[in-house]
Amino acid sequence: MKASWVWLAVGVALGLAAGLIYTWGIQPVEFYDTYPPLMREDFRADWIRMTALAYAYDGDLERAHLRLQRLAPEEIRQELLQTLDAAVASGRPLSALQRLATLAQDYGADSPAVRVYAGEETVILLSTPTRAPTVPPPAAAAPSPTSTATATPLTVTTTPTLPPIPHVILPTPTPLPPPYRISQTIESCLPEPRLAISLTASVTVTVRGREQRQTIGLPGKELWLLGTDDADHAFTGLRPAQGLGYADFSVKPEHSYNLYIGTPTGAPVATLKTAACTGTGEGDRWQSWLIILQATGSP
Amino acid sequence: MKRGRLLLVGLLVGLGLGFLFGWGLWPVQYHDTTPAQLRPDYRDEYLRLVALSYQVEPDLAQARARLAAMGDTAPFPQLVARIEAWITAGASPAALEPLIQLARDLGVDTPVMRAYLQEAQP
Repeated sequence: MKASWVWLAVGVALGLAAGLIYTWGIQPVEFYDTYPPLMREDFRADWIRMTALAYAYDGDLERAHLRLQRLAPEEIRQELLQTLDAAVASGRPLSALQRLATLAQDYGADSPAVRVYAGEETVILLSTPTRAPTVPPPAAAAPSPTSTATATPLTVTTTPTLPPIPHVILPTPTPLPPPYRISQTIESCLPEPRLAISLTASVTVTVRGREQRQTIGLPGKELWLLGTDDADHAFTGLRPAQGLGYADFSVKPEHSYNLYIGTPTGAPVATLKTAACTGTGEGDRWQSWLIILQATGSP
Repeated sequence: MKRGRLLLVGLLVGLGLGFLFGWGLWPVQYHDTTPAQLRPDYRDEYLRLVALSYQVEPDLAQARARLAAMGDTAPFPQLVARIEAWITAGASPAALEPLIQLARDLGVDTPVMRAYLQEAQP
């Protein structure tokens, strides 16, 4: 009787093994209708990356969230940061960078690029001084709306039907100063010529009840460097260790360049020509600059 | 004889259990699928994503590789089929234009797409 059960158990074991070999190895369940979280890691990363780029293009945040549904938040954050960094390095338009940064921030990602492009700094406008068109009349000059009839014949009376005329001082139109001025130029000699820019602004801060002037870096500003046969652009703030207003360019020896801020039009902020350093005695070295620009208005 | 019958019964029972576990209770779990195995609505979304990201990063080789990952290679029948289906369904120009531009850059041009573009021109 005992031997019979052994044979039955052996049969079950063999059958089970054969069944599992067949169902797991030879003819496994095939999945046709999978969804993005089940894709291989590189395809998932590409899905997230494409979703970010699609959002940069169409700005449809709700759809971007739906596309990223059920993917691991950490994976999303990591891929969004990489996509943003790649977009910054490729010089994508500012609007695309801002959307990428906004999406990354939406998923809790944080990096210098996210802070620069999704933060409030990006809405800082170029400091263009403006003038108030009118100066309000002093209270004493406001005409009385009611007539007065007094015994003094010199009393000024006004007609109640006429509207009061404000005391307007029209400013004399004068050309506005450029939004930035060169505050300092530091020259050095390097094996490869470089141009570094630091955009700054002077602001008033209150420290322990006292107002103080402080110089801050201006991140998220687009800089253009137009050469005789090439053009380059960069954004300030991507190397926070060098300062929030810092950006730099590689330049060619013996070339002239015009530097613009914001758009490469109008009068350049600075014009430079790279030339060899003389008298260094260390072989070929080239003039390189760090130009510190200060906003002339409030940032 | 009896032993043989017991062995056979055991085999059948074991085989049944094997099928039950292998296909039903613990089937092979797929974690590393490809875009080609996505559900049809996700495949459509994948096509849209390829076209939209191509607008931001106009890298034709990359777009081609992405389409190949979902099994769509020249002459890109899946892309063409979806574009024509969406044209027929009256999809918005904003949704169609990135796809049509990608298709044209890939060298795909069909009478339906041509007719749509001619109609879309002012």
